[in-house]
Amino acid sequence: MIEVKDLTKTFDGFTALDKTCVTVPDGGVYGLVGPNGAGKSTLIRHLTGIYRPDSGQVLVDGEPVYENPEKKALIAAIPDDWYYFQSATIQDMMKFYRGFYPAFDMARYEKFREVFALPEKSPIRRMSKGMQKQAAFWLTMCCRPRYLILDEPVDGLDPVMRRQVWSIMMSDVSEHGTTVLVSSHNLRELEDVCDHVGIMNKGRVLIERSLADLQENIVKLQAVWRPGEVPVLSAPLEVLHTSHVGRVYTYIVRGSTRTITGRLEQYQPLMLEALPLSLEEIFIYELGGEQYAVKEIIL
Amino acid sequence: MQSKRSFFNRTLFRKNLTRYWPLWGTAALLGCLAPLYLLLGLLSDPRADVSPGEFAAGLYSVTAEVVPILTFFYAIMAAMAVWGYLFSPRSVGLMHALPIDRNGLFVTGTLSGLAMLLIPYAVTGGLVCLIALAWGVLDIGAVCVTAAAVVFMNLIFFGIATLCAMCTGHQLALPALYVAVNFFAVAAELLIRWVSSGLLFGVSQVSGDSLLEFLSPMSYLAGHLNDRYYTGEAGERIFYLEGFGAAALYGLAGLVLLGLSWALCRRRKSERAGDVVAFRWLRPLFRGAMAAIGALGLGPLLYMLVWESFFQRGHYTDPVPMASCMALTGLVGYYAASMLLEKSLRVFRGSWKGAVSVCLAAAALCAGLALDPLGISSWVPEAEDIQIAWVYGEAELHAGPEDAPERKEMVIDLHRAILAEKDSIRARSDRLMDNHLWLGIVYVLEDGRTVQRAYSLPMREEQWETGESYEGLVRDIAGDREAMRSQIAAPEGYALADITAESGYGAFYAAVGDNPAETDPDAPGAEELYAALFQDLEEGNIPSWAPSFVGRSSARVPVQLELRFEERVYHSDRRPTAVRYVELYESMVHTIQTMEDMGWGELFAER
Repeated sequence: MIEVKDLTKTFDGFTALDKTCVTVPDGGVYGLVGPNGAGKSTLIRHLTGIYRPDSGQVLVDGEPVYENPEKKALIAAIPDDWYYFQSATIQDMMKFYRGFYPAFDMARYEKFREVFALPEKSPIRRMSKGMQKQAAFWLTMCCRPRYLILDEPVDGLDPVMRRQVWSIMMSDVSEHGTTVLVSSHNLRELEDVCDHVGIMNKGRVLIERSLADLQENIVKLQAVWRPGEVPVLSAPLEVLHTSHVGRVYTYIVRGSTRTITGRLEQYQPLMLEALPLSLEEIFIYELGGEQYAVKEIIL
Repeated sequence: MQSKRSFFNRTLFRKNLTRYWPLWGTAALLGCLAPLYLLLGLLSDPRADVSPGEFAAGLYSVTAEVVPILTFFYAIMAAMAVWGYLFSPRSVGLMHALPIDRNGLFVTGTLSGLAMLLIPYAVTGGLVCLIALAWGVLDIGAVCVTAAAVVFMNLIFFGIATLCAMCTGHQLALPALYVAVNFFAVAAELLIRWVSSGLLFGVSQVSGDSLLEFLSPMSYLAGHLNDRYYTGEAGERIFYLEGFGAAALYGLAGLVLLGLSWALCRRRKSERAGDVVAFRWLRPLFRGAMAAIGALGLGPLLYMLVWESFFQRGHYTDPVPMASCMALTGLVGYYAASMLLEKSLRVFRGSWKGAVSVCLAAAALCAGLALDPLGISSWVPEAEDIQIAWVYGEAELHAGPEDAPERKEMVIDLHRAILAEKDSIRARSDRLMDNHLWLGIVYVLEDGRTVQRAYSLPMREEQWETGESYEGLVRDIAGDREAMRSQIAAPEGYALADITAESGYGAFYAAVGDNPAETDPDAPGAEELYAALFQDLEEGNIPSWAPSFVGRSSARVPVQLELRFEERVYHSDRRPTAVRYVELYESMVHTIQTMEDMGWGELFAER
């Protein structure tokens, strides 16, 4: 299990992480989402042992990860800007990784040769961005990590390769119990694979729950009221957002579907319907409360 | 495969060497030219009589003259290669995410760097040794000393380069910092002496020994590492490497620097990749150093350009304009440093404290030198503390341990007389005045230190004859027969090698033992000409120096003699020489006659 406790990191007076707490349960896929500059990449660099915490703890299986080669050998990461040596080929990088990761799986490397179909002996720098990303996946997955940490992992990959990569990761999760932490802005994609989600903003994790809990705790309702009888919804209802098109009113309300529906029915709407909320909508409405909403700009 | 908590990672070591093979491969290839040159030389002359001593001399010569310079440049290249990952957020991200701690990265990087440095030397040295073995001239002792000296020099230069790499996070800042660290102390000392020479009365730019040269290994080793020999009991030459102890100490210092770098490596934050300075606590130091470089390096230049050229009266620097120039250029350095640190041009707001500190430091330095609270310029050593006192310039006087004590007193009296009229001399030091005498005074003290002073003395006609002021003492020294003798005599341990005479009508040369006039086998040679000079000296035919309002007692003949002396017993292949110049006057009848007898009469065509 990965645990981050009260992690704080400042860069020349700017607080990038502010007493952040994260818990990534074993054997699942944890989606880390948040606006640009929320601190996701900084958090990932702590999880991979690159950054030293100013305060707080970053623990893997109960031990600090910073300057801990044994724990770092369990973790493999693909950053947004994967680094390879200037004139290195995939084979060169494979030998390099193999020398560091005790669990490096050569059989898997051979097997993936067919999957990725990349020129092994060509310099990586001559490959396209998508091909470089594939190379990163090829090598990283061969390290057989117990913890896989990914920053914008499929950015640059074509749809077929995206599906291929996710399929490999999902099979590792189900067959080997690999724990995946993935940071991405592609919430539609995350929604399909994540079982836990953490939403970050301004260096803090605002919400951290299983996706099911998250979807259960926020409701999208559409209601139609009699003309002139539109009620003002107030406490105890926690309305995050209201909009209407004609007589059809849409409400985003915090709480369970059953409770909220029961309370709204007391106002006797002509029609009332609960709709499923996507992760993207949850992200937008949760952050709307944190002064991070889509601004209505009139040009 | 890396073992748990290992300080060495074989994969990384191998990767470093294979990634940067062009660096050490090219160096090894170029190094191979030396044994090739040696081999071809031996093959082209099979009868050449090479001894183990000469083989040792060759090794020491290369170690002293070539290795420090090569290693200086090569070490920074090796450091840039192995520590290059620290300067980019991407590469530092990869390396620090690997299952290896900072200790492992540092130790492996250091060993890789040293291997890159030493492989070319090992290849070159190995081939040289094989050739020497084949010719039967291998001197194992010399090989060991050379190998040790090479390792020591690599340790110090790689140690400095590694320390610099740990202190900066920018690829381009590393070589700049490396050069600065290697030469900062010596350059700062030189520049302070330069500024001092204008502000402190009599303190010359080259006043005595450098106190900080040891802080610049490159400069120190270039000056103190030499191949030497002494003569053994059987008359054979025994070669040795002078300065080996210093090289060993530098090697030790290199290890200490590597230890310090290790400590910094452990504390260094990955996010500093790309920053000019890798530690916050180094920032004020960087700003201060840049301000010092600006103030000392550019301040005097600005002063020369603006104030000295148009406003300064006399030889001495005006302290207030100098302080202003230094403050201005110091601020340029300070703000340049701030801009590099902040990666922004907006660094002026809230910086007044630092700016005021720079101005105050410049003012304090100039005031300290101008007011001389330590009495540096007015200090004259006591006679018993002096080993050698020496006046040089137009008037010369040498007072060594073998000379009468009164001669030392003459130097001290002159020095005190000059200092007694310090204010008057400074006031009359207008550059446009005629009859100035430039005079240097050197003391070699009993404790081995050298103190050097230089004065530009205005000569007053009314004082020249009285003998009470410095003019009178200069007159006594200029007319001193022994002092004049020292101006043409061979320096101690040296012997005359040759004489060259030159005028507008041509030049003639005579070496000791040669006959310059080929048509006349009895014609005098260099020895006779040198003896004639002494005869003129004994008979008082060489007029002493006098200011232009008095004039010399004899008219000058436009011919100059260059007397070249060589050291009698020398300890290296480069025989030390000394040169003296003698102007001819009409009264030097013996010298002129001998030169005509030698067939050099053409030189006097104007007479």
